[in-house]
Order: sequence, then C-alpha cells, then structure tokens
Amino acid sequence: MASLLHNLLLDLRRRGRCILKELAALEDILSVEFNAHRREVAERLSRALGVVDRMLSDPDLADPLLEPNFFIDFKRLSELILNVEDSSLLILKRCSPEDRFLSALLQQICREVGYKNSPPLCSALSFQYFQALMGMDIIMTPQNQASDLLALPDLYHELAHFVLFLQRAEFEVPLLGLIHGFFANAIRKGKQQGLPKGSMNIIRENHALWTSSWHVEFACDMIATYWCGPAYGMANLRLSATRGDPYQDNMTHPADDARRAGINCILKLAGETRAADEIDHMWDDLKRLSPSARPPGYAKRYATRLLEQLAQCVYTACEESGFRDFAEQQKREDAFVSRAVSAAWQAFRHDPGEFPSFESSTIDRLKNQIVPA
Amino acid sequence: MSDLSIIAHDYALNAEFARKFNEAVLNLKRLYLLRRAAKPENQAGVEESRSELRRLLESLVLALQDGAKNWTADQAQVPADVIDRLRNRLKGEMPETVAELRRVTENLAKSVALDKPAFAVLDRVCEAADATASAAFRRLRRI
Repeated sequence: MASLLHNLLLDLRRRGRCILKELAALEDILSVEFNAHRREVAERLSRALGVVDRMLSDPDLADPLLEPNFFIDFKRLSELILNVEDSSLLILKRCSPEDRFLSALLQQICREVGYKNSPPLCSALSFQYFQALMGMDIIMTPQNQASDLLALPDLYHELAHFVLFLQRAEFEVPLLGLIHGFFANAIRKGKQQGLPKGSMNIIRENHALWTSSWHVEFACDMIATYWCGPAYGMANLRLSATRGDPYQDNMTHPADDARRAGINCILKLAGETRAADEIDHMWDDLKRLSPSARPPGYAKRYATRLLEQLAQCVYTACEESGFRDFAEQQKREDAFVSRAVSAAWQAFRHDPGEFPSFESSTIDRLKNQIVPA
Repeated sequence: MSDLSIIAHDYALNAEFARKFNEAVLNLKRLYLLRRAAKPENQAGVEESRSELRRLLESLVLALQDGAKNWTADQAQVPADVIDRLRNRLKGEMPETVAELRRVTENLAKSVALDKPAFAVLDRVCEAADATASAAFRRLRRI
C-alpha cells in the first residue's frame, strides 16, 4: 500500500498541474508584462512539479530515515503551489486596466531609480493597504491606487522591500551589525552602571524588536526617501494622520514618529534640510490636532544616534548600489514619474482645493507616457 | 507598509533556509545512512551538500554560542527566527548540542563520513527550521 506521503504528493501534483493548465490558458489574453510574469511562474511551477515527480519515483521515499525530510520538502512545495494560486493566478486571472497601468508605472519607477532586478508585478487587489510579496515578485496595492498620486511614494517603500531582500548582504546585514553592536554596547554599559534587572530587560526587549522587523521598516522608509525625496516624508505624514497615536508601535512596525525621524535623517543627508524642517513643522501640527504623550523610555527605544547610523548606512548602500537619488531624478527628463510625484505634493500643498483636477490630468498624462499603444 | 510585507520577508528567508538545510541533510543521509553509493553524476551534488551544510552550520554554531554579543555578518545566514526557535527548544541541552554541531562541522570539513548521532542533531535543526517556515507561512495566509 502506498504511504501517506506518496498519496499527499500525488494530490500535490494534481493541484499543481491544474494551476499550470490555468496559467497556460491565460497566455493569449494577457499583456506582455503580465505574460512575462505568467511564464516565470509557470516555469517555477514546472520545476516544482519535476521535484514532486522525482520524489514519487524515489525508491527511498518510504524509508523511515528519510521520510521526515521528504515530508519537509513536501511542505515547502505545497506552500509554493498555494502561493502561486493565491497571488499570481489570482492577479493574472483578474488583471484589470488599473493593474496594467500600475505595473507599467512600477517598471518606469524601477528604470528611474536604477533598480536592477526585474520589476515586480503590481496589482490593485489588496485589502490591507500595500503589500510586498517577496517570494512571488508581486506588490499589491489598495483598490484605488491607480488614481491616487499622493500615495504613490508608498509604492517606492514596497519596492524597497525587494531591495532589502534581494540585496540582503549590502543592506540588511550591515544594518543588523550596527543594531547588534549598538545594543551590545548598551547592555555592557548597563551592567557597568549596575542598572536594575527591569531596565536591562527593556534594553533586551528593544534589541529584539529592532532586529526582528523594525530594521526592515526603517530601511525601506529610508530607501524610499532616498528615491522619492520630501514627497515620501509627506506621504508618510498623510498615512500616519489616519493611524492615531504616533508614538504607538507593535511587533512589526516602529512608531510613526520614529519613522518620521528616520526619514528626516535621510533628507538631511541628501541636503534637503529645509524640506525636513517643513515636514517636522507639519508633524508638530499633527501632534497638536491629536495630542498624545511620548511613553516612558521612548527616547531610549528610538535612540537618535542609532537612527542616524542606520540612515548613513542605508544612504551609503544606496549610493554603492548605483541607485539614483531624488535630486538626480528631478534633473532627468526621462524620470517623469519622479517629477510627477514631487509636483503632485507641491500642487497639493499649494492649493488642495484645485488638486483633484491637477491629479486627474497628471494621471492621464502618465498613462499616455507609460502604457504602450 | 502592511504587516504582510514583513511577514512575506520573514517567510521567504525562513523557507529558503529550511529548504536548503533539509536538502543537504537528505542528500548526505542517503549517502551515509542508506549507503547509497553516489553515482559519478551525483558526486558534485554530494560535495555541494557537504560544503553548503558546513557553511550553514558554521553560522549556526556562531549564532547559538555567542548570540548578539559578538555578532558578525556570518551569523546572518541563519534567520533570527530559526535561532530563537532552536534556543527555546534546546534550553537545557544547549552546550551539548552546540558541541555536537561543532563536531559535525569539523567532520564535514575533513570529509569524514557522518554517523547516526550527527544526523540526529541535524534533524533537530531541520525540524526547527521547518516549524519556523511553516509558522511564517501560516501568518502570511492568516490560517
């Protein structure tokens, strides 16, 4: 009798083949960019099914010494097939004119900033704001993103997630080194000063938060600011205004106020000190509207020196990666998305009442510029 | 921007580590425990598995014994979530486990055959890495 794992693999193969068939059926109805993604996914799925076939014909599949390891392989393959079904297939089967516009827009952004990997596919199918699905080369945006210029800087932040993942050695690893060093020093000093156990535990807790996820969010904000300039700082304020207490953080995201500070570090490194100060004034206004107090220990949790070191590290990594900063893009005639995003924020600040007509005409122009006839 | 971007990042790192580590262990188990002689065409694959496993184990041993005190870039090859899970699972047996992992690493470096105790400790790492990847996947799909 066949083993349970053998039967599970047969089921996995059936499901994978079914998805492959659906992907093949989409070939004639997709645009060039979407077909490129479809081909890549189909090839990846075919390779995964090849592994399943090899496992099914492996004489050692049911050997008790190897079976648990084969089962681990099965789980990774199953996760891949579920991910393809839930993200790529979902987008490809429902791709809309907005998705095509957003994907073309993202391709153009990639050219403008000097992003060297293949641009992710973009789709307005998210129900949880922006999402970068690293393993699948996909960015999901809110439903209305194709007509929301002021939120476009957030697309740069999602693209930065791919940079952090694909260029981990140049970006994430040095950042982790800085953070570990910073907190190792804080713990050493704390011991020398004879800090109580509770204070030492807080340092350790902050250390864990910074190295588990916060460094990723800070770094993505900083890369997005390098690319997008002051517009990113203003888009961040606009988003933060909808989220309540700017000093509140959670396991995955640092406090919005600390993110503001990180963004401003990059603006200052880029010579945009005036813009950084203006954004700080807008933040003061936001805090006046919604008074909330810094919780105890906030300044130590988000040490300015650590944020400055991180910003310097990200800034250098961006330069060494050959990315074009905001100022360089503004000078280039062909960086029309960067110029449109910057102009949109200027127009909004100058005359918010007139902004809708500016936005509508700018989006029409962008559509003509980037969508091939 | 949403939690999902962070979770997707974690999942991609954890799943890749779990896959690579398990694949190397599976290949070497076949050779040393089942005594399946490597065919000439598979010899390169076996050598690759040995060096891959050695590289990952060196990082893992560093991370488990030193933690953040003397953090180096080499430790970044093993996802932090996997290290945390292993630390939780190994609480009382950490020194013995690290010593055994170091022994396996040295044997891999000297091209010495791996024995049953070596695979027992390697399987513990496979299980922890697998559980970490599965947990990230469930968070990603909210199931």
